[in-house]
Amino acid sequence: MARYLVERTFPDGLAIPADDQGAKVTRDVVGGNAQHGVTWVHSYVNPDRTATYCIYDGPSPEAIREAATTNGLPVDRITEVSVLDPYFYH
Amino acid sequence: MELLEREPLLASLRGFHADAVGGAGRLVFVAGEAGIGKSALVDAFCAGLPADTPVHRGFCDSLDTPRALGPLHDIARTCPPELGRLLAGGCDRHALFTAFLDAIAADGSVTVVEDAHWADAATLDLLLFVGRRIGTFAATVVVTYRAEEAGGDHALRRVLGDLATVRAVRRLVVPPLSEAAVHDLAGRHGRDGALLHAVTGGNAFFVTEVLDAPGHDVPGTVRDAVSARISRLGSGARVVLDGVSLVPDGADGALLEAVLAVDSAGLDEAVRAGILVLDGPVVRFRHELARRVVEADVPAARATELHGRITALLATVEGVDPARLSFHADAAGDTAAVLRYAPAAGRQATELGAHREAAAHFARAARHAERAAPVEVRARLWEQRADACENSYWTFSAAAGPDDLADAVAASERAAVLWAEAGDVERRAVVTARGAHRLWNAGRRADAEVAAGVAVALLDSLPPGAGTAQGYTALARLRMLARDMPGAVALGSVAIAHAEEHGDRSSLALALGIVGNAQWLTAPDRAAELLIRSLDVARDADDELAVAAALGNLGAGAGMIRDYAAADRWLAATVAWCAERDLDALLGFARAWQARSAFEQARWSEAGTAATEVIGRYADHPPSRTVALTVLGRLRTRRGDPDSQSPLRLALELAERTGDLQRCWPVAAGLAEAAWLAGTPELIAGLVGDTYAVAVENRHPWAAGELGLWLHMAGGAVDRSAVVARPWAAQLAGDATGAARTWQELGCLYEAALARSASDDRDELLVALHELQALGAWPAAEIAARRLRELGVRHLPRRPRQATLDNPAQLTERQVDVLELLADGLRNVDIAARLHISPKTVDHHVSAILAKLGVGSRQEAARWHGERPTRT
Repeated sequence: MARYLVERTFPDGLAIPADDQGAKVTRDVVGGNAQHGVTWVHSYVNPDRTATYCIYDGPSPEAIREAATTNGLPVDRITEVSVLDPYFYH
Repeated sequence: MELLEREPLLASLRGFHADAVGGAGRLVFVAGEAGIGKSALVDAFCAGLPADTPVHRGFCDSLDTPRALGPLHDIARTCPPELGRLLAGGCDRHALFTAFLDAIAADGSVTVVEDAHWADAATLDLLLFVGRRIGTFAATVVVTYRAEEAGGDHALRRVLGDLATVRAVRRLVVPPLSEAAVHDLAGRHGRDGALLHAVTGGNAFFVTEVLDAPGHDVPGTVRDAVSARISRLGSGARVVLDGVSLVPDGADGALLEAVLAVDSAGLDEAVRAGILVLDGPVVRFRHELARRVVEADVPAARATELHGRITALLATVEGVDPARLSFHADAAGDTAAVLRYAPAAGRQATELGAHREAAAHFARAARHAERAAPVEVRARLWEQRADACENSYWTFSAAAGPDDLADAVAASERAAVLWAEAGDVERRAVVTARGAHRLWNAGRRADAEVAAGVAVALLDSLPPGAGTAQGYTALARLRMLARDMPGAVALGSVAIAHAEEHGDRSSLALALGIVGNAQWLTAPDRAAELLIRSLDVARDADDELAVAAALGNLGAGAGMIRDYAAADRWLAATVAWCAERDLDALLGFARAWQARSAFEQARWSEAGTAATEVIGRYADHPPSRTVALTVLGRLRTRRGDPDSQSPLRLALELAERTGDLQRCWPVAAGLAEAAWLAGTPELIAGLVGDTYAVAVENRHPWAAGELGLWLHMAGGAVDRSAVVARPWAAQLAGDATGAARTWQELGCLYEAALARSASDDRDELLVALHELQALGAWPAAEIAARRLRELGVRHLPRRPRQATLDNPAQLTERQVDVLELLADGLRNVDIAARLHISPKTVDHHVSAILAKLGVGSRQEAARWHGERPTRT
């Protein structure tokens, strides 16, 4: 199990409404990920919503990609990462 | 006796059975230590079934070499006669196993197989077969086994492990009786519950034995308990017990009367006492533990005498399994009888695929033959044992063991010495030749070459015969393993000629396969032709393994020369054939090659899935694993995904262990590519140099080509006289466009783009960038982008949109634009003007579009577009 940073590009801008429909979209993504043993931790989005940087836990990069295909999401780049937090050192 | 504390287990069994009746069949393994009450549980379950439920029972026997498919023989008696006929008629195993499933698939039937820890290899294969398929049949199969006897390396453990993820297979564990239950039982007999529980540990059998004894003594062990119970019986009953204890699978009426001089009063007494039970016409011990205790106490001389009488009687009965006869004859010390029945048992076991048991039967016969038989008989038995050990090793069945190959080698050597003594040159030659091949597989290469030399000299001195065909085939196989292709072709061709002349189909199929495989790189059409002939001969001879091998070799060979259409066809056929017949090793190999074929055609998602599957499922099969790990490593390298080094390093380790160029060169290429993409080309010479030299020496055009190019790109020296495949040659000569075109024709889209990216031409580089981005190959794309910036190109195109479900041909966004204009009838120059790009770029896009759509002309592409629009 490793943590990955997944970069995605949405040329038309990613739009997830802040209502029931949006909640359903994210629930479906979580369900789709589960089929591949992949967990979506959280994501960072740029202001015009054309790029996202998603933190994922999963068994392999291939599982991340398969989950993305199941959910109809693009994958530009995958990098393995671990957390570095300034507050650890206090 | 009433069953305590078994309600939850019974409820589970009833639940599983209900599933099965509803159409979702179940295979239930019931585990528990000896005497814990597994059989009692299963009996209670069966007793509670509706009266019209068909119930079949089979027993794995505790003969030291169990009967091949013993339980199936038992079950066949209560099934339609078709199954029994197939069993007796010696048909192929796949048909037999399928017939068994069909026979028990009558609505809601229950089949019980007892004591699977004693199962022979063929029965274990049957359990695997059933477990994988029962989910769609309306049948319940319950299999009991002793967990303590099936630990670690035990073959049953492999079956359990293999079936662990199959939904239709379930496990129940029968626990000991709790203290409370033991107290309850003890209380009813006025006995001390705490002491009873302390001594018996809750073992149901032990508890019953103790409670049935009078008085308040509690025996210390099961043995004592059983002995105590027996000592209370009359001498007539004891005689019966002694006799029946010597027949592990139960004694029928004829045996009891004629041999054991059974007096019916004694028998009744034993049955009433609950020690023996009547199971139809057969008398057996209620519990195996009791049988063991009684058997151990029968005086040796009496046992020998009784076994002798049993042998004599069984010999007059028709249809008795030779394994049983062989067992009794051995116990009676009757060498002549052993020599009559053990070889027959061995042959029968071989036919049913119980190779481990076959090897044991032949060993037993050989042991007896030492003192009594002529040298030819002894030689033949050792030869048969060697063959059985080797078959056990190759079939990768659940029961194959690590020592099988070493045993095969030892038995071959023994046989060769004996045939020499007997003066039979042909047999000596065949055994020595096969021994040489086995020595090579066991890693003793120097010894293998010596033996091969001896064998060849002997074979050349003989006139052609069936034996010489076998001998030359074994030697040809050895030459192939040693990578001596011309040698393999020469010896293999002689083998073919001899095999054809003498109608030896199995040698013929094998030899054709060898000569075919040896020529993929020099004469691929001839290779395919020979392998197809091998396939036909194998089908004709109903040899399912040989068919699988031929199909797999056709697939891997076509893949090796990058004929992907043929490779994909053959590999799909191999996978289908092997899946139906549980030929796991070859299935894994074919799946690994499917991963490689998909990878090389840039179908990366498919490749990733297949490679991951093989690595997970076929961890025990190094050849498959090596190919799959190499694909995974190269895939991650090209995509820039994390951890490409671990799979490549592991693959390298596995490949170097075999020393096989076929396994080594793709890993070396992968490591070189990774070094290049990481910007560390100085590492390439060290990674690739040695393997490159071997590739050139072996005249492998694809290996020498790819490795040579990486060496060249890293600034190293390349052998200009080496034979190199066309696209690699073009790249080495600096013809990026020509190379790209050839790669595109082959279907290798990444190689095409990578070739283009070595060009200095801006338009070529732009196309390369575009294609690499579309493939998701960002490390290579970045290198192309960097070169473009160095050439002064400023505004690099944004990344193309990922292919979506609306875009089934995986055309990039730009290619979609071009296709739409093309379909409208515009010429390339007009398209270029419209899209503000150069005409040369449009040319490249058009050829890429034609390649992706798999069509030959603009008109066809336009027609495709008309029928299937690519934008919503």
